[in-house]
Amino acid sequence: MSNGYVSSQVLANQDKPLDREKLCPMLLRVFCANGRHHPLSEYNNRNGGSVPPNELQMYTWFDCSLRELTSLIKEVNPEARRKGTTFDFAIITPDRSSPRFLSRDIGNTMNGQKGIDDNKTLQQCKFEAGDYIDVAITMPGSQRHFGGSRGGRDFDRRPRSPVR
Amino acid sequence: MADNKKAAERRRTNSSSSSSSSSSSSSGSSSSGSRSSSSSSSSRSRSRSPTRRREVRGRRSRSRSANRSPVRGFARAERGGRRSPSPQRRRRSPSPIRRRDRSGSRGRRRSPVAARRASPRRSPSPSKRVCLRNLSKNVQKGHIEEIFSTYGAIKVIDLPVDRSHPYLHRGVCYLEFENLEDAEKSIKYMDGGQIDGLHISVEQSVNRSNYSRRSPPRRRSPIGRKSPPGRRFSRSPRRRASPPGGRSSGANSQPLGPSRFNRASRSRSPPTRRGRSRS
Repeated sequence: MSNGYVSSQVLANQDKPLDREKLCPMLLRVFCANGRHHPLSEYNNRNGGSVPPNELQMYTWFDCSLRELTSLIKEVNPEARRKGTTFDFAIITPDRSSPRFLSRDIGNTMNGQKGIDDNKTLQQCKFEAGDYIDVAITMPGSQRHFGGSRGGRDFDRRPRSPVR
Repeated sequence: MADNKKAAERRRTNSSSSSSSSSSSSSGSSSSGSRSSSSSSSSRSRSRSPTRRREVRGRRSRSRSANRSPVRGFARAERGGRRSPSPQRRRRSPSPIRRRDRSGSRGRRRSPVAARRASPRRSPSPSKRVCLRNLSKNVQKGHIEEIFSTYGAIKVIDLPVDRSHPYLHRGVCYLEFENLEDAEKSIKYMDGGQIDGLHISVEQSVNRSNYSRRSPPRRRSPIGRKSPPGRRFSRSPRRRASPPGGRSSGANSQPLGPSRFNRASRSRSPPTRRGRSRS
């Protein structure tokens, strides 16, 4: 879904420059988990609109890139600073027609390595204010295994350097 | 219509002459706000159609403008200035005209009231209710209260919830201030302002009746059976499918026959993409 082709197409029709001096930042609620995304059942409407417990709140703009988000996460998450740590980003958005939430993978970044998604911005990913960001942080040594509810996909779609 | 007008005028003069003692005395002392309001209520009961009233007013103005147009013009232009000229005029006018004049002053006093009553519909100025749009989902009632209470005391905050997500709202909020000026001030300062990185719009809220008028189209959609094919996303197809199968909720969740295909086209993943691109 979020391979190189899609991102390039989206990039073509959204190039609004954004003045960070003039525009006020928005609240971005980020939920990090190690090695996996949060199951969508943790985002629900029932008990007071509950969200996963480990929430990170950051203030940023719509033109924030995934690389930038990564650095923000690393600021508060020392163990994520290791080289080779992978961050998989997904947007969690409420479904319009049902009480569920939907997740969309928007890309990944890796510490110490340039990737195709690094400069992808939230705007390009059609992020709407109030959506959540779910981040799966995978340490270099561990296996990336995601919940089956996400639909089993091949996560090694991105070329990685053999060096870890 | 001319007959109507004439009749209306006659009626009015009659009524004013019949109630002349009270009305003339009170209007002679001062045509205060309380008085005008009372006359407005009486006028409302007397003549229903606003068009006729307006025409009567227009005609009278024409007839009277021969006498003293400048004063009239003033009275027309600013509502506040109307009060001082009227006693003057009464003093000046001789008795036969007086009756007409009295009725005229009534009619004129009525006219601003009518205008005031009609204006929320036509021009969105005098309403204490404002409507905020393009609010992000992070914004909650408390935030709105905090931001907008700087402009004045807030009476009501109405933040309608999303139908399928009861803990989220629809990005629209209706605010009612205690004072009109505060509502206007909030519009002046916050329209186009930013909350949570989004430019919000603050505008005069159409009155309640208008607000509720927005929902019927939704309800009406199943009636307009062959409604636009472009609205694939709306509820109407599902409803259309349900009558043959019975209108139970089970039938809705598991539609029969071809409707299932409709549904599939509308199903999980595409709507989000569409919904996203829409906004």
